[in-house]
Amino acid sequence: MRSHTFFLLTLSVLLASSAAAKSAGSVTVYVSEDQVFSEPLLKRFEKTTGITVRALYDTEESKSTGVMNRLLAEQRHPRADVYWANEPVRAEVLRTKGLLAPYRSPSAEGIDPEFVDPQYHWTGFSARYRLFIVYTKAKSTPQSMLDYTQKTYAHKGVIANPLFGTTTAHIAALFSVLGNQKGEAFLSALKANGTAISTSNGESADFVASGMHDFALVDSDDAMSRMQRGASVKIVYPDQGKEGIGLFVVPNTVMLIKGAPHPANGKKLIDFLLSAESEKALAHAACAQIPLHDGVEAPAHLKPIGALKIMPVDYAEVARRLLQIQPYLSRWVFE
Amino acid sequence: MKTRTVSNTVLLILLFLGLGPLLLLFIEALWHGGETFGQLLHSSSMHVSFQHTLLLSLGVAAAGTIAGTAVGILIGKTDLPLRKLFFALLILPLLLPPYLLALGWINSIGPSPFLHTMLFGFVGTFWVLFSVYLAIPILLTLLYLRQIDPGYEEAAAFFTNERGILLGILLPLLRPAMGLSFLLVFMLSFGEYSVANTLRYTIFPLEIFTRFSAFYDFDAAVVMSLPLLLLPIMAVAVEKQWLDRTLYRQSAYYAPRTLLLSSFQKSIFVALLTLLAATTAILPLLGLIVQIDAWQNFSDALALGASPLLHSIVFALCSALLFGGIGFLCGYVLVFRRVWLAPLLDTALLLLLLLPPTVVGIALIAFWNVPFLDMVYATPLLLVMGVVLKYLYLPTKIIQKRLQHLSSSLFEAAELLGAGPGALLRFIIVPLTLKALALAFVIGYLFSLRDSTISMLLYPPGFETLPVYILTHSANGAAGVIASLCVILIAATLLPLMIMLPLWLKRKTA
Repeated sequence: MRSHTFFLLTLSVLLASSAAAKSAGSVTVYVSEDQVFSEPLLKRFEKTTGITVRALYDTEESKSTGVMNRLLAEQRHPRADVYWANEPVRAEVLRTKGLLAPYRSPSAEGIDPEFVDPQYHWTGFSARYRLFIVYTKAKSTPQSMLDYTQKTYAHKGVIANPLFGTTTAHIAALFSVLGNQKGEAFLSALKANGTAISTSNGESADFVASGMHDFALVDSDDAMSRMQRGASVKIVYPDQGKEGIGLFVVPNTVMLIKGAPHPANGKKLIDFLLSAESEKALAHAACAQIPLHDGVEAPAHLKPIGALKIMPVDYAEVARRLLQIQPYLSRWVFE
Repeated sequence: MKTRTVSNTVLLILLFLGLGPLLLLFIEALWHGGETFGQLLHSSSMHVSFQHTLLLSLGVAAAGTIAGTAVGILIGKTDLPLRKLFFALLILPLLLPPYLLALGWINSIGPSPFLHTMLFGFVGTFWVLFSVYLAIPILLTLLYLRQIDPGYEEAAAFFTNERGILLGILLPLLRPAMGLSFLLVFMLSFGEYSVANTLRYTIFPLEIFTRFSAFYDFDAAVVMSLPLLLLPIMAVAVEKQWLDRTLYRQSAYYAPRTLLLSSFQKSIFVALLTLLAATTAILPLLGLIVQIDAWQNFSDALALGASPLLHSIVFALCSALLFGGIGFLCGYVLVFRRVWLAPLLDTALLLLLLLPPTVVGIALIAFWNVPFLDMVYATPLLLVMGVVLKYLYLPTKIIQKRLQHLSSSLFEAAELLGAGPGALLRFIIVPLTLKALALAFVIGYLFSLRDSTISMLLYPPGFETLPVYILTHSANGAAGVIASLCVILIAATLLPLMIMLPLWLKRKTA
């Protein structure tokens, strides 16, 4: 009897999943944005539209291995309709490999073209700043990325492994602004100055929150979540001076997969994610992401994007530069 | 003749399912990335990471086997106080995904720079892997101790003291357990990269993972795995040379003998095991548990994790049933059917255990992702298949070793009475292998439930498992809720043991 019950339970799980896979009222989305922030929004879409969302989550902590590798491995027969990436470089990698279909969403009206692929293969929304999280008891407060190389900050800073996540995009952006030679000199000096390397931005933020390191370059959501937990930290917007290169902005990106099984529902989900309402929800969530639509209120504890000096970058160039410098970065990390 | 054909057919299907996808992936990668292989062979960073991996896995296997055998003897053969408590504590780390233990250590040591220097790198990675896999030699020692004929010890007792029995009888007879422990721990440590990734120690599987995850260069990543093909071949040769020949037979004319310890010895060993349990299990687990600062964390975790927990348990039970069934089939063929495909099966199962999960996962995706195979690819079947293929070596070995211990006189007697292969299987082999089957089921359930690496690649959308859920929530999720989810995972891992315990007690009482 028990074995029959177990067999029926197993069969029903398998059949349910098979049926769900074929359902016309569903959309499959692969997500690299932290599940704790993305899941509530996807549930809201499900509730509003009645379309079942079949989500596959990943995280920067696992280096987005699951989602990106699956998208690439499934290229011949795509299973995902939409990919929600937490930064634009992965979107560019997918675009160059021919995995994306162009889609110009009406919800993207009002988003600065700087954050949209010119051929509409991907669209940016709800961004994060790359900023310093600083231990409040630290003796000095860094003001620029280049402070990582200053003697005052020897053995005091930490940075996430630049082979993964938003740090990759940031370093590639820095290389595209400074040039490869100056970029390599910067990273060598940073290492020589005793800067620690962590596995992720979250870990960097934890190291600073615990007082083990004085400062770290992290995403604004990592800093905000530690501040909300009551950690003794503050945030600093780097490179805001007259000579400063400006702050690097990392938007979320959303894209339609070429050959998606449910393209119509995929487009509806993209419209939903790019809407001002979704940006507002992400701005007021614990991740405190910065809206890219005009007129949407910024999170309480972060300056609005218009009030800051932003690093001028072309994300396609950042992705190209990244592919170019990856062998150097790999040597820099492991040797 | 007929049974050989059936055996070969079954093996061919298994090899097709396991090796077919890998073979295709390797051929395609070599086709596109043949030059990369040459470059990688001459890359100094590859040499360094390969040396690191060998040093780490050999170290963990050697230390784990020595310590695990000693602890197994203390727990299973002596009158040491608190034996069951030590056993429970030392087994605990095996029940969790290894990277969680590393996270527990990071939380436990706090901001101390000295301890951070110790933890991040070889020492920390070694200790976490040692803590996780120590349970394997302990369990194997306990299992093999039960197989030793007490008559040997009784006979030896006429001529020597307890130290002599230990050194002259028990340790030589435990050599197969030690050999198997070394082999299993070495293989499991070699393929495990989540701990090295968390504690930032450069190892070869991590380099492969980096090729996948940072460079998105599948061909290079797959080509890099090619040198790993040599290891299972070497391991199978070692096993055939040394482990298969040191078998012994079981009989039970005497009650098992207990080695009596003096008060001084008891104090010393209790202190040592306390230290070991504290540094392998208690401290890192406390590092996780202390983050649960309110009961609300638990109720939140239960509400959030209910669905992933159900998925995990159902998938793990399915996998465990398959582990028992297919493991028995493989073990049976390896022991009783000397078919030409058998050595290849052994090597293939080892290869699947050893290869980085990312390679196995990508191979399965590329192979099964075709429109007419939706019943496999778009359902949890692919995940179950991936986990079973990845860890099938473990239950197969357990059952194979048990089958090797069956006395040939039983078969000869049955055959004299006219029993055919079917009757032998039904009335002799299966009943005498039930305990090993139960162990294979538990091991299968355990490894399926705690897996996060291959599951991350193969779970169908909407069917995430609890370890994957913990991993994806660990980024910016509430620490108390994450810690509660870990405790729930441990409880779920203990589920089959909790079900089996009353049955075992009932049987013992009867």
